Amino acid sequence: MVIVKPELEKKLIAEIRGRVLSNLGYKNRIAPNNDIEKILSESIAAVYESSNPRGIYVLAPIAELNKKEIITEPGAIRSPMFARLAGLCKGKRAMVFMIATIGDEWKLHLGQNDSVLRQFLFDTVASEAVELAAELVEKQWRDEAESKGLKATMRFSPGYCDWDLREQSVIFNGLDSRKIGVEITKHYVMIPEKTISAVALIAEEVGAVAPCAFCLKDCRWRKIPYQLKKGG
Amino acid sequence: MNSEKNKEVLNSVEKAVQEHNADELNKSIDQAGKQEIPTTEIRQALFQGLEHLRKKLFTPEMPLPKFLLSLDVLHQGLKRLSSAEESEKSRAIPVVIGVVEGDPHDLGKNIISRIYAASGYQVYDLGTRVPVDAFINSVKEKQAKVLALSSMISTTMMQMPEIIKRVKAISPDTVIMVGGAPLDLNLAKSFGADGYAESAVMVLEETEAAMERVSAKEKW
Repeated sequence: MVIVKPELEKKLIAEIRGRVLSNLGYKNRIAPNNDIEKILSESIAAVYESSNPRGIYVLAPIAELNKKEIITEPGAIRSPMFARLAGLCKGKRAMVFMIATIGDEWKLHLGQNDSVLRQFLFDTVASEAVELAAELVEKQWRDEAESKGLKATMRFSPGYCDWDLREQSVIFNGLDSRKIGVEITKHYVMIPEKTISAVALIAEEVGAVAPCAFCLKDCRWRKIPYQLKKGG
Repeated sequence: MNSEKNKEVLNSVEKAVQEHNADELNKSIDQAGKQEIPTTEIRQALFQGLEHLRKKLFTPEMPLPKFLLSLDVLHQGLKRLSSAEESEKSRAIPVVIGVVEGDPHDLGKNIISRIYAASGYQVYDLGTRVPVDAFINSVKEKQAKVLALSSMISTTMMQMPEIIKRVKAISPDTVIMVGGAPLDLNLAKSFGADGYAESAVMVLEETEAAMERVSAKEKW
């Protein structure tokens, strides 16, 4: 289990405002007005004060790999795209399973009759905060992999690419999510709401960091440009 | 002379919404009351103010928070008018809205709910994680002309076809709108919905278009 609050504090102060504003469409030096600025500052302070960022991860060996799936002890990742990505990983290789959350306590700052703007800004800040928490958990397993001489792909969550959201349960088979107070419902929804689950591949040699490297689809979630060379 | 003065006050109502100035809006509504301007005209000015902003939504000039600020100011204005509007409520179009069972995400639904309410619909918000039967009962009880279903998750979204089928069985003329991150136009059509809004910007136009199609019994 990884507790990330001290690091999150630094990140929240340093990064969250810029990231939230950019996501909200404030670009090219356009700044929010005083009313929006006031609620934004309040929401950042409140989310930090009441969030309890924590995470958990495990490195699981890959038992078998074929064109359609990556088989690990907690279960199979049924995704031809991720299987192809794994095929590009050479030498000693493993799968990382991770979950990060900030808890639900930040919602206590919101009332049913609050303005839509307030609800929206709190939600946006909480979404960025859990993303930051996930980045900090990711840093922990990346450091561990690096110390073993291994490289890593980007992390991917269930529902990405051709990986079905219902496969969320594989991650929960591999980790004791109760240790960080996260549960999964029968609809594969994670509770608390602001939780991120993901997997990644680590190996001595990583041929590509994302399936986008060999995918030609121009989808809105593309992470990197197409980059596979002829014969790859 | 009176109509000139009334026009001036209604313009200031519209401007106050556009500039999300709650104090100015309160003053203008007070003045409108003194000049005995009909509530319907004040409401129309409120909506016109928001409509002007909605057309610019998601441009650099109009990021979503700025629009929401005006939506909240408009909502306050509507609340002030609410007692005077009680008699009009019976004429408003009833909309039942909710997030399907298993899905806790309420923000998108809350924004759409406020947009409907701010545009004169009578909104019955069932909240999140709403069971199928609750949608059916509410449509029946409120005689809903519109049912708006939201789901932010692909697994919970799969309940929509059943809800749509059951609502259409008891109330074929109820217009069913769907929205949420995993949906697109083709999915919405395949589920049997009458309309789909990709974002809050389009929800009013799409709802009105769907109502016209259903009323004319046109295929979508």
